[in-house]
Amino acid sequence: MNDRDHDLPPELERRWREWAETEPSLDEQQLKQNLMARIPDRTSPSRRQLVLVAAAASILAVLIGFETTRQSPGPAVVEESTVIHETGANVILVLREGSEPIYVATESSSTNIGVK
Amino acid sequence: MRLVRRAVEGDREAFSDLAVAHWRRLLALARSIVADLEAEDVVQDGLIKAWKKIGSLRKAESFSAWLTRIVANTAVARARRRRVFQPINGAEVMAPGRTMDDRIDVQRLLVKLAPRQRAVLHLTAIEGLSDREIAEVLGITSSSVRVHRLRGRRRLSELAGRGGTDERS
Repeated sequence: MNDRDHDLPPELERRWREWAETEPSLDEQQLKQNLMARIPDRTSPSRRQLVLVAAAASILAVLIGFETTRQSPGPAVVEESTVIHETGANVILVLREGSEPIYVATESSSTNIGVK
Repeated sequence: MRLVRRAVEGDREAFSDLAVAHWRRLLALARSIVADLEAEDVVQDGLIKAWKKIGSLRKAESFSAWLTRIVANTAVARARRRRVFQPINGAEVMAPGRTMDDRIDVQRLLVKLAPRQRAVLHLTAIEGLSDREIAEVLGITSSSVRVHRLRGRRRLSELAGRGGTDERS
């Protein structure tokens, strides 16, 4: 491919250059004003977004904390009317509806939990 | 480079200053690709697109080529969509009785070229870019640049040689 064989005629190139570089109707100041009016300000929104993100994170943290507390393991429920608490290293407390609390000694802390 | 970095961080004052610095060069490119009347509009559209995408600019030193690419692609898309390249005046291009050089009407000749050929010829003849630079700006390969330039030059030479008329169109 020989580019030299297909150079633009010099006069065409000269006219093309002149035409392409014709004075624009908008000067630089007008262009700047146009742009400032048309392009959105990205600085302020991002600050606002940061505030929103921080607020959302705070709400999320509160919700997670609430849910964690709500779902934290409570006493083991064996029957609807029976609740067993681990009260010490080798002692469990059995609460039954309509009866006195019973402390039961166990060999280890978890072995007999849940056994009536 | 400082202005570019500020613009990337979202400083629109810095971006506007950059746009002003590139305005005439981009406008000349757009003029070669679309009709004169639309060129300023195309460049401003391109600048707004560039503003929206500037956060993705990785290298500050690539800003000029990156911006040129956005404006060139905007202009090529506009030229393809309209499919009409309207000279701003309807003057007779090859009026009889004038010399060949006097009769050259750039707009009337460019209308015979594909938008991509106009862009390649402009970047070659007016901006003096290398094939590799043009390829980077237009997002095409260097061999495509050579093909577009060759075809565009052939076409223009043919048209200029026969006085701007084109029996095929």
